[in-house]
Amino acid sequence: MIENKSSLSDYAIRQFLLAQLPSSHQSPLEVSLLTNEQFEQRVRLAEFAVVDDYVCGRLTKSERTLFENNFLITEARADLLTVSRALHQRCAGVTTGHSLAEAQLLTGIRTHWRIAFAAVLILVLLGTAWIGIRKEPQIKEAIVRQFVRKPSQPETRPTDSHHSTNTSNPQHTRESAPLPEHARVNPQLVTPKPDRANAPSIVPSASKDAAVRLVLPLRIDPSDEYYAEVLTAQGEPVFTAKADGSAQGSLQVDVPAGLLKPGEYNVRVVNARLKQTEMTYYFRVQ
Amino acid sequence: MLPARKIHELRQEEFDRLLNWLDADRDQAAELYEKIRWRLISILASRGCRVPEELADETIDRVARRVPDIESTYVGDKAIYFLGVMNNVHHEYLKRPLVSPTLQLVGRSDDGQERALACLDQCLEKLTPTSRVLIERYYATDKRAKIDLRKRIAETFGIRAGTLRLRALRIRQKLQVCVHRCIEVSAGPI
Repeated sequence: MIENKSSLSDYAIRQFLLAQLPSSHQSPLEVSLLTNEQFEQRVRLAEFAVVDDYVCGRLTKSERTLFENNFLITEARADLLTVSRALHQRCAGVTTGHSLAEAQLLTGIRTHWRIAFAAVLILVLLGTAWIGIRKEPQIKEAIVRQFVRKPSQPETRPTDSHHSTNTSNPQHTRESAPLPEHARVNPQLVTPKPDRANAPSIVPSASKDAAVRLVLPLRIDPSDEYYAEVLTAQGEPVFTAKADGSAQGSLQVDVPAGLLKPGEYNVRVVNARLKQTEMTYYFRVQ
Repeated sequence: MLPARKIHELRQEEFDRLLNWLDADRDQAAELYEKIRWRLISILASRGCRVPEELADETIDRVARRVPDIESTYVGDKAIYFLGVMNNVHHEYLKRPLVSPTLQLVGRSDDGQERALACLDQCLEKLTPTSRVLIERYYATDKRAKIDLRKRIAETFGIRAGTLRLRALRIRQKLQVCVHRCIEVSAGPI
């Protein structure tokens, strides 16, 4: 029965092919078949399907009778049956087991790839974790350096390539990260000297948040800004910060103690406006 | 209106005029002609007609003979005109004395089946590798076990089961045309 079903449904088409479509549905389907290319294609494909079902024994007894009496009445449809039988015979004889095995093989291959991918992913995660554990101090140091180090001098300065040379414009000076509040409360004081021979030595505190306050004697212009650059003896930048000029006759800058490894350092005081070094000082860390 | 003559009396000029009425392009017209014929046969068969091909051809014959009268005035889908004529032809057929069907098409000779198998092999060779694998797998198993296997085949090809069915049937359609031609050629001229 096809009540409550569309007159153009697959079921209706099947009934149409078996000459069992109720008359109320017959006329709309006929018009659609004659005027609708897509519907015609559906009917054509349904013919193959019903023939396949017949060959494979998927029709009921009454459907088989209808098929033989009402469907199989043209040479063209007999040809469909012939080819369908040949196709089933050929494919069943040659590829039944084969196709199953192939399908299983393909499924197996895909499973293997999934397992392999998962294994690689786990290895990468484990490797990353191992590196993180083993290299933790170096990584930490590298991160700190990234924040506190002045970047290497570009061949072309920003003011040459991108910015106006008008000195009234703000200068681009990158400062190191400010010290934490508690480190600034009790810094270790040192007064670097302008001559290397008399450079003072310090032993920085091992405390993680400790700081060394560099006191740099200098007569300054209060209207100018000054930066202090701490470099190793080899000229490698260690720390850069805006110097505090509020103290009478000197500039002060706090350096994280953790950045100061044993060795010689020089401190370059730069006038931000004039972009020139005002003084260089020296100190040692033991 | 002139009574329709038998189809074998349809003259070439009438047939040409019919094609020209269907479409100015000869190839398009021939294709449309075949489609309309197939549709008429399907409709007649679905009405329980025992000789649908004969009545479809009778219908086309009558339409061809009437083309000179209608070609300048007829408006609308031409296929619908065929439907109207076919209804008349079918109505007349139903008035005829009942004749037992003579076609017995379920069984084909072993010879014919062998020929079909040979042609099928040739036609399978002509398919693309993907189409061939798909159609072979689709038709690989028998009976009701197919459903599960087809789900798996669809997964293998990364398509839905409904899409697999449609693709398989379209490949099947191509195979049908190919095998039919092959059988015709191997049977030689009638």
